Formats: sequence, C-alpha cells, structure tokens
Amino acid sequence: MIILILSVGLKNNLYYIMNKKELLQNIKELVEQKIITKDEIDTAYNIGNQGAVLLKKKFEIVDILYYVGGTIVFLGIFILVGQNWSTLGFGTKLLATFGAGIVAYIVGILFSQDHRTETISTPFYLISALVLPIGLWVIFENIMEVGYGVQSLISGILLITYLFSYFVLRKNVFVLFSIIFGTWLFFSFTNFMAGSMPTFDWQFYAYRTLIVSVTYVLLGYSFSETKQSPLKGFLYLFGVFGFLVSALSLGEWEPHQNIFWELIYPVLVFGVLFLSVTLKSKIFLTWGALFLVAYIFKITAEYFSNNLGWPLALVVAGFLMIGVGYMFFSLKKKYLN
Amino acid sequence: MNMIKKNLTLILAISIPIAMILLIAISIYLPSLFMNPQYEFLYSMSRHFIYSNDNYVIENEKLLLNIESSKDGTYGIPDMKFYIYNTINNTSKEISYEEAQKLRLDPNIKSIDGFEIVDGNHESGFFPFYYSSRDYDSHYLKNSITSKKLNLKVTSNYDNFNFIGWIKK
Repeated sequence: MIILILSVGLKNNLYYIMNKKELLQNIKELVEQKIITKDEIDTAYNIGNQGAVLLKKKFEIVDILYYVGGTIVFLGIFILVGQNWSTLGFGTKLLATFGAGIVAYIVGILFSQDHRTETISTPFYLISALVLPIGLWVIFENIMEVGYGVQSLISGILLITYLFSYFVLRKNVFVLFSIIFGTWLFFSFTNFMAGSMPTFDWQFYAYRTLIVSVTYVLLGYSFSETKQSPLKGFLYLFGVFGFLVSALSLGEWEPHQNIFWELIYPVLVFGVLFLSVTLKSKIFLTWGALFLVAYIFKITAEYFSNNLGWPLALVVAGFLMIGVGYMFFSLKKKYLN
Repeated sequence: MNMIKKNLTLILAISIPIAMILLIAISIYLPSLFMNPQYEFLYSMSRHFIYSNDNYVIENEKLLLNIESSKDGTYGIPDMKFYIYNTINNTSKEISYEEAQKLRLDPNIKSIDGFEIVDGNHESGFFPFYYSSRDYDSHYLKNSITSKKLNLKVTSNYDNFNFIGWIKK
C-alpha cells in the first residue's frame, strides 16, 4: 500500500512540476516577443481565480452528497458487523472492518488517478477513515484490554497514516482526517496520562477543548492563503464555537462560579467580534453575537433574577439582546458585506 | 528562518497542544515529588457498607463500635478489618480492634495539613463522546494541588473502603 501511495504521489508531483515549468517558460518567451501583455496575464489569472471559486461552490454541494454516501456505507458495514458480532470469528471481523478500510483507501487512490473519477475518491477515503479505527480496535481488542492507551495508539497510527498520505498525495481531505485523528489523539493521550486522578475532573475537558479550539482557529488562519483554504470555514466554525462554549462553562454557576472566567468572558467575546472584522469572517461575528446573548442571559439569571425579580431581569436582558442584534447587523453591513 | 516566519501560525497551532501535554505531565509528576503528608489515617475494610454514627463513633478521640448494630449483624461489623495507612510509604498495616481503640483519632474529613481521601474519576467513552463518573474502586490522597493513589489492602472485590479518622501524633 505504501509503495502504491508513493508511486502515485511521485507521479502526480512530477507531472505538475513539469507542466508548471513549461508553462512559465512559454509565458516568458511570449512576453519577450511582446505577444502577450501584463494586463492580459492578470485578466487570465483573475478569470481563472473566479473559476476556481465557482468550481469550489459546485464541489461543495456534490461533496455533501459524497460525504453522506460514504457515511451511509460506513453505517451499513457497522450495523452488519454489529448485528452479527457474537457469531463472527476474529478473521471475519478483521476482514469486514480493517480489510474493508484498506480496500476503500486503495480504491480511493485508484479513482484519484483519473480526473474523471477523481472526485469520487473522496467518499472512499471517508469510508476508510471511518472503518479503519474499528478495524484497528478489532486487532487491539484481540491482544489487550482496550483503554485510553489503546485509543491513543489507534488515533496515533491513523494520524501518521493520513499525514503521510497528505504529504505524498496532496489532498485536502487527508488534512481534515489528520486534524480529526490528531484531536482524538490529544484527548485520549491526556486521558491516559491523567488516569483516574480526581484532580482531573470535567474542567479538564473544558480546558482541553479550549486549547483544541484555539488550535483550530490558528490552523484555519494559517490555511487561509494556501491550498487548504476550503478547510478554513470548518476550522473556524468548530474552533470559535468550542472556545466560547468551554470558556462559558468554566465560569460555572453561583455559588460555585469562577470569578476569573465570568469577568474575562465579555473580553473574549468582544475579542471574537473584533476578529470577525479583522478576518472578515461571518462565522466569528455570528458565534460572537450568539454567545454574547448567552452570556447576558446567564449573568442576568445568575445575579439579577433574585434582586430585580425574574420579569424585570427578562426586560433588561431583552433590551440588551436588541442591542446585540443591532451591533451584529451594523458590523455585518459595514465590514463584512 | 523565513520558513519559520512564514509558517509561524501553523507552528504555533501545533505547539499549543504539545505544550499542554507537557504541562499536564508536569502537573501530574512534579507536585507529587513534593507531596509530604504528615498524618497517617485509620481505615476499615468490610464486605458490607459501614455507616459512621450507625456503626461506630469517635468519642473523645477514641474509636467506639456500636455494639447494638453489630449484635444483629445488620451492618456486618464482625467482618470489619482495621488498617493504619502510612501516607509517606503508601503501605497499610492491619491492626486489631483493641489496638485501633488505643489510637487518638481526628474524625474530620480533612487532616490538619490539608489532605483528604477522595474517590477517583472514571473516564469512559470514545472520541468525541466522553463522560466521567466517580470511580468507587480507586481512592486518592488529595490536597489543593495534587493527589496520590492509595494502595489499600483489598482482599476481595466485595471489600468496601471506609475512612475512619486521621491519627493524631
């Protein structure tokens, strides 16, 4: 399988390098002969760039169907194996899970070789990413007790596999799988380290979610000017959401509230709103506005519902919500449209 | 250098979770090196749940068993075994009821130097669906910074741990 990936990757990269070099050489010669002008090159570039955007939009709709299809195939395998789990032997289980995952991966690579079938390779990669963890679990379950140590091993193996696949085949879907398996590795390995220590309670999850979310946002930002830019939306969506949810939950509720997180939270929300303008991101603006509303309701219910009375507290929260709505509308109109 | 500058955000994104893993490792292993509990404690193991006040009481720093409840055997006092736990060496030493009665005991949950005995956490689930619950089979010596797993004398799966009190010096 490794030889197959390497040979395919090498062939693809050489093809692109050769074509690009030839093309640039041709442009150079045409410019020297004054057959082509800078404006014409710029126009061609801009048209190509717009075409890429249009193609990307079309691809997104088709992509959803591919992903749904891949997930349904996975569910089919999962249910089939699950229903007959007790009657199946180790070999059959291994073939139905690990074997199916490997086959789906190879089929994906083969489909990606022809530009007519290249897009169909995505659901096969998805099937492999969903089925291979179960296949590895079947292997490890047969030889040792499955705990967070084994989960770390499975996610680590898959992270290396998909990172390697990306570096060789240069497909964004492998970056996505690497991020997902990397996140799994982070959670399972830290769970493995903490064991059953009582000092690592639910807040441990909240802090780790906070870290993962910041990582997602940074990854999204670093991808924004690269070939991985289609992943930016996904990373911002989960990154900002995870960050604001975990920070809000760390504030807890009276009488166990954490003053630090309750006080810092509005600063974080306004930071997100500020970034929405800087990064021109509607995702930042939407999550920022929604979580500002959530924070207003939380603080009103926590501290003012007893003093002001619940109906009056609702009136105050309602007015503040109108203010947030207006701010959302103004920011979107002024900076993002 | 230019490569690092160009990919600074990406490097930062990958470094943050790695830094947290290192921080967690440090927070687990480093404080435990400086953990220095001053007091031993008395505990019992029984196949039955033992309820303080119902089954025993600490009066004037001395352990007294409730004979009435032990007579009818409802709470299983007869199979109760007593142990002194050495918090520095992590070892248990079995003692008789008579020996336990000679000890000066502090029934407070927290010792004078700020330690208490708590249950462990039981982490379960599969990414991304994790949940945690109390683990009644593992017990820890814990202060505000760190915790240490107790090496209790468990002779069968049915043994129930029961903290009785801190031993006064």
